[in-house]
Amino acid sequence: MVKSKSHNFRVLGVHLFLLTFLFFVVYPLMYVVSISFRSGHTLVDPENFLIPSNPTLEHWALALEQNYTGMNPLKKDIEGGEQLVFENGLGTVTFNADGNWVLEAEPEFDEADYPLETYLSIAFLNEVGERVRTDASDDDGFIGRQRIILDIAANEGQYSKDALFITPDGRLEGQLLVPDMPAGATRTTLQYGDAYVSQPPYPVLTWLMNTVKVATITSILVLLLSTTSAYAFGRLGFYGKGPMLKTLLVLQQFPNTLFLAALYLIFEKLGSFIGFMSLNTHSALIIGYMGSMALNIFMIIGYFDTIDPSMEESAAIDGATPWQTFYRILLPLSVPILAVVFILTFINIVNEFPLASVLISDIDKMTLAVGAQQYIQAQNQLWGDFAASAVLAGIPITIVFLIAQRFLVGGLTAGGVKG
Amino acid sequence: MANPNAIPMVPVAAAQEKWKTWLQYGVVGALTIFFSYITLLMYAQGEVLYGSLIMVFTAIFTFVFLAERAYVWRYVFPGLVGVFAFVIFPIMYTLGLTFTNKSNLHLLSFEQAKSYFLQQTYIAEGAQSYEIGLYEDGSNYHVVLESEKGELFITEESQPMTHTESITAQMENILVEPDLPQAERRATITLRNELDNLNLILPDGTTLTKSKLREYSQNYKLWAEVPDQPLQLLNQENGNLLTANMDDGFFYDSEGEEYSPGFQVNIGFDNYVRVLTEDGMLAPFLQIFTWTMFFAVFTVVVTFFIGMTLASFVQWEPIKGRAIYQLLLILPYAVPSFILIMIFRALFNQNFGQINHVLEMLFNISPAWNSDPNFTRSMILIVNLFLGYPYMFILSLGMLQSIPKDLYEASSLEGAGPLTNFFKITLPLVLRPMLPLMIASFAFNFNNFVLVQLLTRGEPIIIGSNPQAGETDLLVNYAFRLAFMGDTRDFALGATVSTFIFMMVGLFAVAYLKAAKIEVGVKK
Repeated sequence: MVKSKSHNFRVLGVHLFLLTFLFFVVYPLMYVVSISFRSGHTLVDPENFLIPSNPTLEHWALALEQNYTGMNPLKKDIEGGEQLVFENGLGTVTFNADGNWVLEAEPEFDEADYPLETYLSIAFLNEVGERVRTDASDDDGFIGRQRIILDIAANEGQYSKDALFITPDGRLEGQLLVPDMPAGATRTTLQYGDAYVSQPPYPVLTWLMNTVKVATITSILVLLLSTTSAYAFGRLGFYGKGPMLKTLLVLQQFPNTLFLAALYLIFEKLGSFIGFMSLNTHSALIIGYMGSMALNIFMIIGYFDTIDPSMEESAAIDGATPWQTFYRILLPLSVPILAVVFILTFINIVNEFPLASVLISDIDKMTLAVGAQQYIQAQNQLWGDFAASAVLAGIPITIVFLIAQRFLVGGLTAGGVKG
Repeated sequence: MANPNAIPMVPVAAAQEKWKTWLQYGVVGALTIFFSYITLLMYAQGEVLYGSLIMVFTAIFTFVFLAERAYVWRYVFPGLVGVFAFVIFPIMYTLGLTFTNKSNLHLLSFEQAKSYFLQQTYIAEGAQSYEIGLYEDGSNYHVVLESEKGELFITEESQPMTHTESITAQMENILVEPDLPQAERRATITLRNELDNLNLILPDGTTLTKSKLREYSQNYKLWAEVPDQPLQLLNQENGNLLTANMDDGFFYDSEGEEYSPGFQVNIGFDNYVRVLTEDGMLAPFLQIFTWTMFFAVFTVVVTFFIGMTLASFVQWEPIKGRAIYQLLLILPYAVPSFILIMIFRALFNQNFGQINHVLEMLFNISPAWNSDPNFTRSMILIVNLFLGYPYMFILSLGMLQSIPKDLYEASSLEGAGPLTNFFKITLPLVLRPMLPLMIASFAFNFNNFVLVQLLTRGEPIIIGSNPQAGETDLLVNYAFRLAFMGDTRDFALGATVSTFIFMMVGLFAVAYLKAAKIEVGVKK
């Protein structure tokens, strides 16, 4: 083919099209990563498109089930020589405009949260509202930032000198070195940190463990049952095989979402007799997933069909039982399809939402798909925390899928649709 | 193919067979005993249906795993049981539910509802009352009752007071207060739930229950059965007569007031009649049905074209970096869908979302993605295209590779452009093998419960629908809403809607079998 000018334009056009398309594909993924590093739970950062203007690791700490000690910067104004009383997260601070301050600590935090830190610094404002500079001011016009750390006094040696220590049950008085109010200044602005401890709202790691546990056990059981069934359907003859396979194929089209109410009522009933089948147990969930293996049976039969049966026949002539030909000859040859079935089932179970949401109601027993919904309640939408746990949970699953995807194409062509 | 000589094919020695046989008997026997035990439990509780099913299952299980004749079935039996128990049985159960009135108001059977009434008690006016005293005995408590005449009774055994269900304790006479530390007065408050559930029996056999915060009184059964009238209950306190209405599953008194709990009765085709004739249901049902069909068809057709187009581009040899394009293009398929859907819920948020933020900056518009039905539906379609195109893309990649290259060469010699190639060569060749997969995709999207549930929960609500239905509900979401989201949890009505879906899915399945021309059991 001759490469003409119009050909080059076409290539360029396709590249442009694909890149534009990919922008829309990748943007939501970047967006969720971005939210996970934003402070607070805001959905729009007016200052920046993707890079958080106020980055924080809080959501990630909470997703990893760690307490997070953070600090909100706050400001207060004092007119003239008034006294100011405020909470700064460590306790109540009483501040006089002459620079003397008293902190009544409220040491009601867990020891695990120490050291809790806040700071104090002041600036003078003139009538216009601008900061009045003095010799002691920093670039922003604030004077000497003092750190206050709520800590057990024994740890004193670990900190730099500008830190002031108080004992958890104690009270500390101090003085900020405030120079005299400069000429023209009318107000004092106090800047301080408001220390807080946030605790993980939900047990994300437990959810991850639950999901991996349920998905692994289900995949193994499904693999076991569908392989043996596929062997019988594909290799052994028995009465009613054809109609039975057709029935399975039709049944495979009925997702369990259609009979959730029935499944719920059945498990409610059975559970009152058999402990491991009661509502709110992982075993019930796993058993409930056992119905969804018809498709796998077909995929495996399809693969068995590509294996020449002459080897098994000769083994049978040598006196091997059907189980031995299955276990020793057919299975080792079918490892690729078994891997595909395992991964497909695993991913499907990780993504499964309807049955898990109906059967499981304890927060501690939820799977990720159900648990992730907890962050977004009608009144309380913790998008930041959701984003961090979604990225945390989503990355391993995505990587597994991307690695396995080349093997999956064959399976998908056999009619599987991922949920 | 692997070398057949590499596979050991030595027949197992006969000696090994013997212990294996015993093991087989042992395991099968133990399981049979276990299943029989459950069968007995079921029968004892009056669960005839479940009892019979498990009994049949046990019999087949034992036969299949012991009889040599049933050898082949050992491979299929466990899988078939799974499919039967968690697909076929629930489908039949759903069909059965449609003929009942099962909901939160009618959860119990008639016998259970009746015995619930018969267990209720009341405290007669002017009955002897007893003041409660609590005495500590280690970490346990003794309850002491003092009658109005000054008689003293104490529990024979001290109670740990940790029970959560109703229990009964025997009392004995004492003459003086026990020589034990008296619990704080507050204890009757902190232990009020435990005391509520603690029934005390006096030495003369009278049963007492707590009537006030610090008082026990004698109580009586509130309801009594009426001889020869199994459908009636007589109120012992005021003489009211309740009659069970077997048509709608409630007890009514003489003035026609209904008493909870109701019970489950067969109501024939009433649920179907409701769906098909009631104004509050038929209109939403038809609207939801239309929307569901449109949603599924639109998704399949548009994702197919997007996937096909992308695949043609990525397959085109002059394009560099095709592997990276391909990897990034299937990303939406690799990321768990429950995460992606939630991200879109955030992006499309009507008031705080990024999309409206950008639209407002660029065009000064702010579509009501969350409250206007048309915008909400558009949002669902957009998100589903995003989630669905990679499936078609992956399939198209495979299909395109199987088209012989010389067809294109021949057509380019004739001077055909890329569009002509696409419509005259690619599409006709790909459409045939894609058809069954598109039908499968259609069936999947027809029941795409998770997308709607996580994105909009079906909202906004259709005005005039009763029970509530959502503008963006798919049929399957509507069934779920009826069964799980309302206050009444109308399982039966939800099952009725599900039954309509069963019929549709049955049609799709037949279409799929026809299109795929799957030949089963004809191998070799």
